[in-house]
Formats: sequence, C-alpha cells, structure tokens
Amino acid sequence: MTNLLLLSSKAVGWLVALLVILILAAGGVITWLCIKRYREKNAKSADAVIGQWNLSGGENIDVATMEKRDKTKRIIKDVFVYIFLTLCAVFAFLPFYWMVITSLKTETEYRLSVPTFFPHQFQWKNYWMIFHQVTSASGSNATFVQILINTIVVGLLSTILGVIITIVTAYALARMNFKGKNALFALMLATMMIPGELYTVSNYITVAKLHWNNTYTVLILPFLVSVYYIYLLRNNFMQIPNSLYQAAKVDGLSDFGYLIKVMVPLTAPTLVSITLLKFIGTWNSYIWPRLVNGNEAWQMITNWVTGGFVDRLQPDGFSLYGGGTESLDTLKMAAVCMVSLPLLILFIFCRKYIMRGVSKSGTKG
Amino acid sequence: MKDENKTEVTPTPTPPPKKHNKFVQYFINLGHRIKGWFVDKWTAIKDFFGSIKTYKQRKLEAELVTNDGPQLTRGEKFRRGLKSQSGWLFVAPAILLMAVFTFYPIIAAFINSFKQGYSGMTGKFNGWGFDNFVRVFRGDTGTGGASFVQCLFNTLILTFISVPLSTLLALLISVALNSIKRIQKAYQTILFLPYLTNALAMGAVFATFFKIIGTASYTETYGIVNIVLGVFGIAPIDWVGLTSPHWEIGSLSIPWAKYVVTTIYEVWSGLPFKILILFSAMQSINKQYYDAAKVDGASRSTILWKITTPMIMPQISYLLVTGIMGGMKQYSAVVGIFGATMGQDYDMGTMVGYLYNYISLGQTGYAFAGSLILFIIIMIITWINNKVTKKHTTYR
Amino acid sequence: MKRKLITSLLVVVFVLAGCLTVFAACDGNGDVDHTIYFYSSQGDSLATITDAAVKQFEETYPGWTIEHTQPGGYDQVLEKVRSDLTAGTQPDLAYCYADHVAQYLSSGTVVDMNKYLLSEDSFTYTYNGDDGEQTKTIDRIGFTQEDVDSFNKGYFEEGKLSSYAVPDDVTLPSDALVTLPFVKSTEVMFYNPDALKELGIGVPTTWGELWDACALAKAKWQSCTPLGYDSEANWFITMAQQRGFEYTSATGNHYLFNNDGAKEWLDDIADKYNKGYITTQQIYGGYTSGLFTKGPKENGSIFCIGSTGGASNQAGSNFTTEVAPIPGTPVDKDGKPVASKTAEGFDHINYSCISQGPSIVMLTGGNGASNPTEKEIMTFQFIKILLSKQFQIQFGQGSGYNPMRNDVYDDEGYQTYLNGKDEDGVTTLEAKKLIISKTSVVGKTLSEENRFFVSPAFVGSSVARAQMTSVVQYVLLGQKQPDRALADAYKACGGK
Repeated sequence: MTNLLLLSSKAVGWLVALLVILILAAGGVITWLCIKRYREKNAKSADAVIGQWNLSGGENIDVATMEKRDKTKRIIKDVFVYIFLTLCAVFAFLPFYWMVITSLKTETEYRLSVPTFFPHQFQWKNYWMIFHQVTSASGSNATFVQILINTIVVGLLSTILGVIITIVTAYALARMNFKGKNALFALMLATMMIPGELYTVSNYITVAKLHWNNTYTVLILPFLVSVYYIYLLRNNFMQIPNSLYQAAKVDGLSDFGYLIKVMVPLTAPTLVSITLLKFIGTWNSYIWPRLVNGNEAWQMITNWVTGGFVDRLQPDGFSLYGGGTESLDTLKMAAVCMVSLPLLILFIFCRKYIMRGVSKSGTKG
Repeated sequence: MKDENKTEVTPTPTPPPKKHNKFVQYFINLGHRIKGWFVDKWTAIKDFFGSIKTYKQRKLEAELVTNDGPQLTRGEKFRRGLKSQSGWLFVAPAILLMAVFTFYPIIAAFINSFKQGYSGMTGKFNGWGFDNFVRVFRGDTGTGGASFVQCLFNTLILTFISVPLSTLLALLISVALNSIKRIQKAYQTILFLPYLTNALAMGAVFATFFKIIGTASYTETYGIVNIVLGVFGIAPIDWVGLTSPHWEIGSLSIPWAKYVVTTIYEVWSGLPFKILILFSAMQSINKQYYDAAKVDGASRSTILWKITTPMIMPQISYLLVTGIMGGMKQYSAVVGIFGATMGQDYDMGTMVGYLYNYISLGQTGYAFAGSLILFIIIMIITWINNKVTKKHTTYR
Repeated sequence: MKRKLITSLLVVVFVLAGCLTVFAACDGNGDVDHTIYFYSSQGDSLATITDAAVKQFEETYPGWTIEHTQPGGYDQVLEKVRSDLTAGTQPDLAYCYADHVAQYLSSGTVVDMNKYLLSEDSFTYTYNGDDGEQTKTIDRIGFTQEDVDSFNKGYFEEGKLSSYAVPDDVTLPSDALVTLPFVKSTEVMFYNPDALKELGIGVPTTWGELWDACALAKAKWQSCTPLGYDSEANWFITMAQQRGFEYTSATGNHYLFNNDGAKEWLDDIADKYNKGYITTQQIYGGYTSGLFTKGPKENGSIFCIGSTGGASNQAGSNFTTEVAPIPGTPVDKDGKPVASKTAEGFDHINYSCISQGPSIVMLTGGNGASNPTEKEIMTFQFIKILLSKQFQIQFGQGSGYNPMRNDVYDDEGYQTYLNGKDEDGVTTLEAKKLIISKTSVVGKTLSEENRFFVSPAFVGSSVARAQMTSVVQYVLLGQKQPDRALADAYKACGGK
C-alpha cells in the first residue's frame, strides 16, 4: 500500500490523469443533470436552477426572456468555469500541499530517493524544534515575545505609515497639478527597474554611518515608499471621474478633504489589498533585518523562524536525530509553514473587505 | 518713416527657384526632410507645453468664475501660483525617503560603474572610463562567473513569456471567479496560497516535481510531471537536471526545458497578486453595465472583451508594467529550482544573479555596469512599448 | 480648509519623525570600546556551546563583553563583513574561508596574528568595576609553545599569508599569520560492511582497490551503483593533490588545471562512469546518502564519499555504517601516479584529503574604537579560549567537527566519546551519533598523519571551484571530452 504513495510507480501518472478525468467527468455529469432537470421542469422553474449558476451575480436579470438553447449553453459554460477553476486551484494547491507534508516528514524520509506523497510517519516534532529555537540561543536576550513585539511594532508602523504615504503621493500624482509631476512620476517608475540588490550595500553603509543598526527605524524607513503601490493606487484614483472632483470643489471641499471623504472610500478594496500586501511584505522581510540588525533582539519573526534550520541539541538533551550541523530541509519547510499560517488567517479576515467591492458605497460610474 | 520708405524703394527681387542637378537636389530634399522632422518635434513640444498652459488657464478661469473676482493683485496671483504647486507638499515625504534610500544608491552605482577595477569594499579604483561596460559586454571580466549575454537573454525571455501568460491566466481566473457564487471564497483562498510561501523553499518543491532521480544503472523516479506525461505517451524529459535539453546559438545556450519549468513557477507564484488586483478591480465595476449589456443580449465573451477588460485596463497595464519590471529582477526562484550556480554553469543565470555573482566576488564595478546596461535596455523597451501602445496605456 | 490640510500633513510628518527619533534613540549598540564583535555562521546549537566560551571570557576579563552575531551561512558572513568593511563597522573577529580573506586583505584591516601568537608580554587594562576604577593584568598575551605545537600542522599552515594571492597594496609581512583554524571538517568514505563481507573483500585503501570492489559489486548486483561522491569539485581538487597534477596557484596565472594529468584522470573516471560504478549528488538528483543508506540490493550504493559534517544522515537502514579515510593513490618517488602498490617504481600512497570548515580572522579598527591595540589584544584572549583544549573538546563533541588541536585526542573524555560512549561513559550512542563519533576517529587518523591540504586562495578561487564541478559533470555525462571541458572552464575562469 505504501508503494502506491511513492512517486516512482506509473500508477501515480494514471492517478493524476484519473483525477483530471474525474473532474471533467463530474463536470459532464453535473451538466447533464442540470439540463435534464431543466427540461423536465417548465421554463419558469428552470430559472431557479440556472439562477444559482448565474454569471456575475446579476440576480435581477430577466432570465425568462432568454432562449432555451441559450440556457443549455449557459449551464455547459458554467460547468466549464468550475472545471477550469478547479484545475487552477489544484495547480495552485499542489506545491503548497507538498510544502506542508514535507514539513511533517522525518529527514530520513525526506532524503529517500523516491519522494513519498504522504508521510509514513508524522514528525510533529519538526514544529516543536522551531518553537524551541530561541530558548537555546542564550547568547542574546531575544525571546519569542520580544521578536513578536518587534514584528508587530514594525509591521503595524510600516504598514500604517506606508499606506498613508502611498495614499498622499498617489493622490498628488493622480489629481493635483504641479510643475514636474510627470517627470517625477516617470522617475519613480524608472526606479522600479533597478534591482534592489543594488541598493542593499549602499543603504547598509548609510544606516551604519547614521548608527541606526539595531533599531526599529532601520527596519521601517527604507521600505516606507513603495512605487508599486503608489502606481497601483494612482491608476485607481485616475479612474474616478473628474466630475466628482469638480463637484467637490464647488462644494468647497479642499484637496485633502476630497481625498479623505471621496477618494479613499471609493478605492477601499485596493487600499485593503495594499495594506495586506504591505503587511505580508514586512512579515516576510528577512535579508535586510538580518543584515542591519545583527543583534537578535532586534530581528523579525522570519529571521527567528529561519535561524539555522539545524537539528539543535537542546539543553534538556532533546534532539531530532542526535544533533548535527547540517541544515535540514524538513525544518525549513516547517518554518515556512509556520510563517505562512498567520498570514493565511489575516488574508481570510481581509478577504471580505477586499471582495466586498464598491457596490455598497455607490457613487461609482 | 525713413526706413519704411527705403524698403519700399528698393524691394528685394524674389529670386526664381533655382534648378539644381539631381544629386544636389537629393541633398536639399534630405535637408528639408531633416529640418521638417525637427520642426515637427518642436511643434509637438510647443503644443505639449501649450496644452498645459491652456489647461491652467482653463482652471484659472474656472476659479475666477467661482470666486467672482475678476481682478487679481500680484500677491494673490503669487499665492494662487503657490497653491497650484501644493502637490509637492503631498509628495514631499515620499521624495525625501526615496532620495536617501533609492536615488542616492542609484546615483552612487551610476558613478561607480565608471570606475575601473572598482572594489566596493575599499572604494579603491584605477581610473575612470567605460572599461567596465566593455568588459561586461565582452564577458571578459578576468574573474569568470556568469556570462552577461546569457543572463540578459534568460531574463528577457523568461520575463516576456511568463508575464503576459500569467496576466492572461489571472484575467481568465478572475472572470471565472467573478461569474460564480458557490464556493467562490474557497477558490479565492486556495488561489491566494502561493503568495504566502517563500520563493527559495517553493523552488525546491517545484524541482522535486520535475526531477529525474537515478543513476546510470537504475532510475528511481522520473518525477511526477514526466510520469503524467508518460500516460500520454511522451518520453521523459530531463527538465531540471544536468542533461536537460537545450539549443545552442554560438556561445548562447537556450535551455528550453528549464525555461518551461521556470515559467510554470513564475506563473504559479505571480497568480495570487494578479488575481487579487484584477478581481478587486472587477468588483468595483458598476453592475449596471452588465445588466444593460444583458438586456441588449450581449454574449459572455462580448461582455468580457467589450466591457470588463476595458474597464480594468488600468489594472492590466499596471500588472504588465510592474510584472515586466519584477521579471527583470527575478533571482530567488531560479536559485530555488536550479541551485546556487543557477543551472549548470549559470546557463539559467539572471541579471540579478549576475549582480550577486560579481558583488560576492568583490567586483562591484561590473555589477553596477551590468545593471546599468539592463536599465538602459528596459528604458528602450519601455520607450518602444509606449510608441506602439500610446493610445491604450495609462503609463506615460 | 487649507489650514486643516497643512496641519494634518504636519501632524503626519511629525508623528513619523517622532516615532523614528524615539526608535533611533533606543540604540541597540553597546559600548563599542569594550565590546568584541564576533560573527559566525554557527547555528543555535553550536552557538550554545560557544556561549560557554563567551561566559568564560566575560568572567575572566571583567569590563569586557562579547557580542556574538550569526548572520547566516558562510556567504552571509562574507556579505556582512564586506559591507561592514565599507562602512567601517567591521567585527573584531569573524568566521572565514580562505577566499573570503583574499577579499578582506585589500581593506588593510586584517591583523597579522604573529604579533600575539607567542607573545610573552603582559598587559594591563582598566575598567569600571564595582569599586570604581579597577585594573586587571593579563600575564601572557600569547599562547604557550606547547599549545602551538599541538595545533594540527596542515590546518595551521593554511593561515599563512604565503598561501594567498596578495594584492600589491597590502603592507603585511610576507610570513604574516592572517587566520587561525577554528574547527575543521573533511571528506571521509562511508561504507557498508555487510556488502563488503558478502563480496568477500576488505576496505579499499586505494582507488584501484575501490574500482576492483566496484567491479565485483556490479557483477553481483547489476543495477546497483557502488560509489556515490557528494562533491565533484572536491573530488577534482583532491585528486589533483593525490595524483600530482596542477589545479590553481596563488601567484601569476592562477588557473593551471588545463593539463594532461587532469585529462588522464578525467578519462579514467568517464570510463568508470560508463561502467556504472559512480554517481555524484548532482547527477543522481537526490541525496547520495539516500542511495547509500538503502544498500546495494535496493539499487543503492556501497560506498559514499562525503563531508564529515553530514555524517548523521549516513546511518544505514538495515546495516551499521562504517567510516574509513578516502582512498589514496599509489605514487612513485616523484609523486607521479603508478598503477598499483605492486607496480614498478611504487614508492608510497598519497592519501591527501581536503580540509574544510571555518577559520577565524581578526580585523582591526571597527566601529572607530578608541584604542585598537587594546581591542586586538583582548580579541586575542578570546581566541585563546576558543582554541583551548577544553573548548575544542566541547565543540568537537557537540558538532562532529574535527578539533584543530591534536592533543584533544589524548583527552580521556574525548576518547570515551570516540569509543562510541555517551558522556557518562556507559550508554552506547544511538546509531546516528555513533557515526559522528566513528567519523571523528577517522578524523583523528587523518589529523595525526597530516593528510590535510588546502588549495590556494585568491579572488576568484571560488569560481575555479565551481568550474571544476561543471568539468567533472560534463565529462561523466559524456557531454564534453576532457580537453574541451577543461579548455572551456579555463576560458570561463577568465584565463586567456
């Protein structure tokens, strides 16, 4: 039975092919069922069936006026949409699944020549090992709490300040007129093309000369301005019709008031996206904190989680495989999983704000 | 008066158009054409500034009307002029930060790329000149390592394949997501998962899927991709290994199988961000448009290409522009899949890989020169792109 | 409205500036003049062992502290030190590889440790203790002669400036000592004793014997691959040393590997590869240890040559892994390889094996310390602790690295460890720990017989190494003939 789980056998190929065929077949069956049900009932009750599969959630559409043939077509198309999405979801999920199961394998199993689809033996201690990392490094005064505080302080501050700067800058670039605006914008865009690796050394020297090493400042300041998001938000702002601006001007609203009262609510989904992405970026930052803040007490969660990845011999004598100096990939994967989990929760939380859309705030169009 | 008379008295005779032989005429025509080109440009520039002026005037007029103040004192004019520049106040924080952490390093790199034999660590160099650029282009850097032309080629190919591909796929997925009601949230969450992972770790995972493991005597596994392809009768391909198939053009190697793997990875990792942007943009489209279109009996594909796509064109162009710029900077994915030497002997090297290679060798001058050449190349591409799609893009 | 706008913006700017000033004021950096900065690539487990040395130092020398930073792997240490050298904030002591030091040399901050190595001078410093200003005297700055004598010679020679390509502007004396070894690892041969028993042969000690064993194994288990070699580059460099062909040199045209000796050897291994005797980690695609641990009956291997650092992964699934030194090459009086031990002109067997693992380098003048000499002396006191017999024993046992002192092997505790016993001397170690201790036994042999060598370091020596990986791969897979592979590598290294 375990051999079935090995990647070597041709059965796996068939298994995957079967999976695809199954998805397709399920789609076919659903199509057939829907059509059958539709034909059995009269046109009016069929609306209910099709209504559930309707596109773009337009419940108010007068479906009854549609032709019968169109409806059959619609059902088929809907099924295709689901098949397409399912295949994409499998494509997106498979590597993630692999990461999760790898994080639960023993290093010996991971190093098997033929990888296994499912762990023979769940090694939950991989996660335990990562949690016990800092307690063993007594050279610094870093504790998990300290590192968590660092990450939250830096994450919140750089997200809030970053989003404020992004909004203000994007607004000026989108709506205000001042000399050299276009040149400034072109210059900003041009900097996106230059690899950040080029800055790293120069910026390191800058902060070292300012004696900013081992501070929060050095983690926040250099990444506050993100041209990517300024550009995105500027595009969004530009889509808001000019007439609104004129109207606001007539109402005696200042630029700033217009920005806060009209623009920000209208672009709320994008702003939530930017906030989320910005926070994920800070959460995942790793190379720069490690370089500038050598003292572990000033590092971030990802530094902490990825520190070493080796099978440390714990003070209480515990170790996974008797201790060692080589870094273990299973631990690395466990670390990545642990870093991802809070972000996933954050995403699920933010999703409804991103996806709610502007339909409720109305004035768009 | 006197002058006027003078000119009247001696009117200059208009010379009859001189006849030239063909050879001279050709050059005269050429001269006219060149002059015409410059005049054209000049007119365009004048128009450009002219249009700004008229816009300003229009605005000023509008303000005059609302303020009921026909006459402005000098002071008021000055204040108004200052107020019209208040945009600088808004962008000031961003500019300040960028000046320190972005513009300064770039300028420093620009200057240092002209220093011959520049060592980033000690700041010592032998003299000024274009030596670094010449050496980078000829691949004659004296310390070996990645080849510039190969890295540049890889970067351009990978970017221009994977960016449009992933944007198109993201567009289709967003449309599909937008058109369903059931389990939409589950799909959203699953499709966002790749964004939460780490490029280095996931590169290794992708490599596992494509890897053939085995010795000359016994093959352990062909990797899941080859096994699945085998069901359809396709012979196993060494996607990521040392015997990976490639074409060779001169000193340039085109490892197409590795390109396929990298492209799949890039599409996979680029999807979540693109879906997020496109989907939230689609959510912002007013439903009335769709309703109207449906009442008119428009088909789904008509709605997609005639309504949805134009409405989210700014987002698409944003994704394309930033995607290309991000693609030019790709590094960790390739290292994750193909290891620290980026394939066999840097055959999958990218521009940032090139940069890192020379920075870690202490040859910072070459790294700077290489990235400056890359910058110029992207500028040229952007410029051409602008020329071609001036009407359709919001990027100016 | 306008006032509101400006006020709001000003508030934002002030809040921003305020926050950052507060954070900037929370300076995490300590007392620069009395803190020794030490960068290493140690993981947390090793850092715990090092903490003991730090504690010992801080207790012995009150008023001084050590800040131990772990920027990541070796590459990250290099990156950080190099950036620090540019900014003038270099550490006082850092882990290093020889090619890193080749880069640091031109900064002019590398300290010649000969100054302190055997210095008999005493040194007095003052500090603010509990009772106000106090003084502390160090009786002897340097090591004793016995200490230095017990350093492994091969490791020690590595740190001399003579094995470096020295840039023109370096003012150090030509016999300067720029690095000291810390702990070392090497390559050893893990083998499957059960399989050898079944074949009826002993442990091969030369490459010829190894190939014979491979032939036997191949005859018995058709689809096995008897030998897995982890690192192609190490193989090339080791064989260059054993067979006496040239690889690189510190001076002049660095790249000498394009020679007949190399071609001859490459031809030989290509032949062995075609017979199905060998694979390498890259060619195999998975871990060679995975191939080794499953045994020849499951299409695995019998021998695996790899780093002592990875020993814990070599525990066999159904056999007890044994460890031996890597095979040698029988050579004649001039060091030229001969066919076998019985061949005409045979003189001795060249057992050279590569020496890897971190050394330490002392840098001066970091962070604008007001008294660099005092700091150098205090840093050297820390080095003395790191290289002391007691600490080397602790570190060797905890990490599986080979200690850099030969007298460690005389220590009773360490011998117990080598015999496969736990610290209490009774319990037999579990399988994975046992291999580490067996590896250390081999390390002892190698160390006592001075089999270690190092290849010269210069800017670009890492490129040459990477190219050797490609050469061996191309030749084994038959993609390039040896002469073309070597010529291409020579070109890729920047040779003319």
